[in-house]
Amino acid sequence: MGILGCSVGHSRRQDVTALLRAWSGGDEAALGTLTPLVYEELHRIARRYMSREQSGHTLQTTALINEAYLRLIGTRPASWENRAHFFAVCAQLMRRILTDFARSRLSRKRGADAAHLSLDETPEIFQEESADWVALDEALGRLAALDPRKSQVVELRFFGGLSAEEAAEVLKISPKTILRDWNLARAWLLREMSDGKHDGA
Amino acid sequence: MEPERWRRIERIYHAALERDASERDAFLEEACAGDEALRHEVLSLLDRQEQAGNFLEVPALEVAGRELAKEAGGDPRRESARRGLVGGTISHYRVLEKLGSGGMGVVYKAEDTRLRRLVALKLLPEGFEKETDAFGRFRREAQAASALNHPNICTIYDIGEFEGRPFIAMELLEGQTLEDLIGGKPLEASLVVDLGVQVADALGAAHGKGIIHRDIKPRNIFVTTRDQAKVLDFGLAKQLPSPQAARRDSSGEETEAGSDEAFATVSGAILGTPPYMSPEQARGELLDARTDLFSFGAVLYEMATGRPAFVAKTHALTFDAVLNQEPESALALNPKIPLDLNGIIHKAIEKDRHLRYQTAPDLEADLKRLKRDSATGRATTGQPARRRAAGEREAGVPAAASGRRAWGNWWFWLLGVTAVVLAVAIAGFYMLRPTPSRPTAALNFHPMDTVLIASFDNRTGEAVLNGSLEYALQVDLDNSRFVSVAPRERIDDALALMRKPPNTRVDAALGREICLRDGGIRALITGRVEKFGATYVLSAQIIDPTTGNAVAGFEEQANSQAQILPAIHLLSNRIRQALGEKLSQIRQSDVALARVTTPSLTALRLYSQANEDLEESDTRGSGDWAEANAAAWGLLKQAIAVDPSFASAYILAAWSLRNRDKPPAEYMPYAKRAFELSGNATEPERYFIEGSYYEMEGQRDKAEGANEALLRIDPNNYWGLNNLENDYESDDRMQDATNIEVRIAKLRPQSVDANDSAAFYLPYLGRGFREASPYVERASALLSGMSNSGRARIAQDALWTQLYPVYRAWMKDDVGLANTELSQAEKNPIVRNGGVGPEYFGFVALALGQAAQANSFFQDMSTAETRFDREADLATLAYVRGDQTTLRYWLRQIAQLSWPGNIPISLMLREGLMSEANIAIRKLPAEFLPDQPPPWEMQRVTGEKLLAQGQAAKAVPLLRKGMKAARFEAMPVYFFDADWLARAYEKQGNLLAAVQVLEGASANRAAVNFSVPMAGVPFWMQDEMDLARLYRRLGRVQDAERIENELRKLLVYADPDFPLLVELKKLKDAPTLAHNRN
Repeated sequence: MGILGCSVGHSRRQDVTALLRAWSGGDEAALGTLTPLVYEELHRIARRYMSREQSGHTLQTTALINEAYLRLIGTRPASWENRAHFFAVCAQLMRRILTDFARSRLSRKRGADAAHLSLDETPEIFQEESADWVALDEALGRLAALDPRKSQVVELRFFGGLSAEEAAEVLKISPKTILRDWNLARAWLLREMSDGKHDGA
Repeated sequence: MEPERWRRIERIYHAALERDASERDAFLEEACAGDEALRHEVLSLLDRQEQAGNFLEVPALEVAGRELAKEAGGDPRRESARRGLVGGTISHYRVLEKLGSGGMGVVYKAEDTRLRRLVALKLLPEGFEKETDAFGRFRREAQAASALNHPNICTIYDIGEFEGRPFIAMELLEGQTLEDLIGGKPLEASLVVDLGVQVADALGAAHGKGIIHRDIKPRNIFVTTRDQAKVLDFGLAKQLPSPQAARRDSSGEETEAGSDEAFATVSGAILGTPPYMSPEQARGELLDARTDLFSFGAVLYEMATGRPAFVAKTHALTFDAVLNQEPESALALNPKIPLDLNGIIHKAIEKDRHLRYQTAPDLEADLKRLKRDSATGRATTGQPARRRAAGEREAGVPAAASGRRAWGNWWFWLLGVTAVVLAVAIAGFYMLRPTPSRPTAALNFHPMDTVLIASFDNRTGEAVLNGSLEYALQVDLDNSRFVSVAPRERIDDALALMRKPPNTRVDAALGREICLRDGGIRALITGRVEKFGATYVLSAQIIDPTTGNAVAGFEEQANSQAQILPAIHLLSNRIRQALGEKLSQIRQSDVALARVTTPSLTALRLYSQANEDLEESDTRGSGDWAEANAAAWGLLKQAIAVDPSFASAYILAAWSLRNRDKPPAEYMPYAKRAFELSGNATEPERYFIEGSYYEMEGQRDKAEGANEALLRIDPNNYWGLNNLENDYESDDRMQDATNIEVRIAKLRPQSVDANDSAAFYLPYLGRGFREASPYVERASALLSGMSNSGRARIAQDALWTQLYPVYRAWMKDDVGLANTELSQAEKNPIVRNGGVGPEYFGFVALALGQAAQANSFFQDMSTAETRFDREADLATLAYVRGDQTTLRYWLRQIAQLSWPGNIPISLMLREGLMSEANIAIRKLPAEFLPDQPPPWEMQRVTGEKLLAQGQAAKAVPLLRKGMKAARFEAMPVYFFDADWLARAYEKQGNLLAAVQVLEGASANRAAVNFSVPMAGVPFWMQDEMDLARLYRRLGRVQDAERIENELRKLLVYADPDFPLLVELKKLKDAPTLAHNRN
């Protein structure tokens, strides 16, 4: 709080972290509890977009998203003993939930006209490339088989919302390596998702 | 693909990227050395790299959020999305078509699928959430109108909510609004009378129920195809305290004492539609039912003449017409109307409400009489009535008779004008008369007493003056060290208690109520601005809130807009003087307002908007922070563009950038500019700018000094408090930081964050839970409308607030206090149900040596939050108790869990449960990144394993490495391993190394709180015990006894059979007996 936006540095969000731990420990029921939390954020973001764009304001997306991640995940929880693990799990969770979310919408849409949840309507997101969440998830799976670290980098950065520096800290490699991995992984995924021919193996 | 080949691709890819595009082909040719597949692979990746653009650069959550927004139709660029609702369903209404839209929302034609009837569905526009005003109005409309059941009032069927947007289902009417029906041409007289009777009857019914409409106008009256009038839009309706309802105004708002007349009144902010507003409404005075009769009169006038009674090019001129000008006689404009109708109309639009129709039934009766007379041919005009006199308007010359009647009206009018003039003259005399002695003496105003500035009554119609004059006056009064101005948040707090939205316009009446509620505000300052020709007249009054009487009044003039701020400054000085500030003092801090902030009213408005928004966002703590800063930035940029030397705008702009994590290169230029310009600022502004500038420069000492100076002269400066709190917190001056948090919480009782922070930090002052609990409760209450996660956050803090004093007491060896707090906690539902509560306090119990108590807490760990740790904690407990059977039972259970945790693995190894340990260890890597088990974790586990197998020499280096990392990652295992490592050294005969390890652990007592609070204590105690034993072995009996006594002190409240205590007792009984456990 405050104009400096200072935050009190104590252990919050224990509930979410415990659920995360449970989920990564194989407790699928925990996912059921976590998903609404993520959806809540998602809807909050969506609502902001709607009201913002209509009133002609520009949306400070970076801040908004950071805030959402922070609210969901918080800072490093006190009882989480391994930071790297924590962030990795968060990113995995986000990947899982968002992909599931896309999948559910996809099936709803398929009933109507779209055979594919086309993302060509959202060029600013996937940059005019026809790609979708499910394809991304699958491609990431193949990347993990080929080069696990690169898939983790993508997971941490894209799904986990971490900066290169933060991802570097989590993976205990240099930010430079992260950026190199990131660069190659994006190219690889883009190719994978657009031709779908290469399986990289 | 072979890993080797993939690595090669990677190498070549990056090497190629480092080269210039022109050299790439040649490079690839060479690097791939004829391997075409390889070259193709790299090339295709390089191609994609170039196309990648923004791909994946936007975080997933945002991408998904945007998609969702689009699907929900939030993208204004897509027309289809806008039409989204048509064809869709809102609650159980099928939306058929859009009928129209207005300020209060969109109206659709819809079908009620349950009752199979057509309805009109009014939906509040999107983005209403923030406009609580609109929301409130909408609700009021629904409630007011649904209380009315009248054939001439549109019936409300249903009120509901659709995706957070409230809607009203109402009678679907076919026809058109009166506005469309009139269409600029007079209606035929019989229709005027006919519709008039219906509307008057509707108003009579509403007024009878204590409801006034306040916005009667042609657009709000619907005429069905069968010429039935329907009054619409009770959006502005206010409930009057009627005789029956007078004392049960449940909303708590606007309960005014009845006036001296037979009319109850309500205070009215200026709402309504200018050409149809009554003069009292235009003046923002208290309203009663007669306001509707005036508006209705204006509507009748327009029906009869085809022209609005009061209309002008600008709102200001319209106001002037309503207030001061008599419209041309209706009869003059349309000679065909009956004389009596003309009379009725002009009686309805009398400016003085005492001379107007007094009740709707009176008006209705006159109209009915006219109707009867015209039906029997007794009406004064002989013109045959025809429906709509289209195109028939002539430059009518009033007949002699009507001329007389008109004169009669004029006479009346003159009387009215005289009365108004007289009233103004009296008021002016009162305000301008010299004030003998100090009339404000009655206020009993002391230095630093608080005043409240009500919103200025802006009668100029110039929107730029709305809100800026009171702000300017506040800024100017902030110069005074004698008068302090109630900050907006204090007003908002009072408003919240009155169940009014924040930022409600505070007029004189409301201001007085706030003063009375607040109790600490000594004087109310009201103001007004009017414009006569080009001259602005600004006046201010000091009102004694206890009596409501003005005790002083001042007036200043400005010849142009640019002169307004200097005039405000003069007003401010006169107010200060009247309140008792010495002239010498005033001169001392007499910084002209125009120079202080900005000479531009526009810039001032933009700035004050930005500042208020930021403060509000911060107070609510709702997470709109970044967004609020972005919005503020937009406003401030404009303010700076208007006035490039506006110091305060620069500094706030710098903050708005910095608060969004922009780099210094972006915000520092603004901070620097503010600093350069601060010479012209007020003292508080200057200190704030300095404090901020130094803060951003990283010179915290200087920043702290400036912030402290700021708070000395302006103790309630919100940003000052926050920034200083932050300084203190960064300096680890928790006492001071907490004091400020408490101050903020007191200043902002409605702020979740302030209360939460105060609650969280108070234990740092050593005052314990009880003192913090009011803040916890307040924060929780404020959060009751928030999401689960928000509530969980507060519960977590409440728990921590309770835990902290225990931990603190334990650190100070004050186990008595820790014990008391523990027994309090036992009964505290926050602890019992607080998620991790049972675990935390279980460890507290264990630290105090109360194993049974710890057991009862740990057994409670059944919620989702902690059940994965429950077995591990119970195993730890069994280990501490020396209960091997139970320990082994739990460890075997844990081995089956997906999440064994590291302490149990160590315990398994130590207990020699090798197969269980191996199962658990195999799960360990899965705990971490798939291909990267944290080396330290594996190292220490391997070291432990080797130790368990008796291979100390191999174990030691691994354990040492593992522990080094564990020291920062997991304190309980660090303490656990310290004991093992020491034993390994001991076995090797290296007693000194063993002592060194244990001394390290011993010194880290504070770290027991790391990770799960106090979870490390049992192992730390074990280290202490071992250390004492080694000291004894080394003959350092004194050192040993020091540690043993320390442990005894900590275990004063332990169970008598607590193993460690038993051991300590044995030592005391036989001091030479060495403790040997293995």
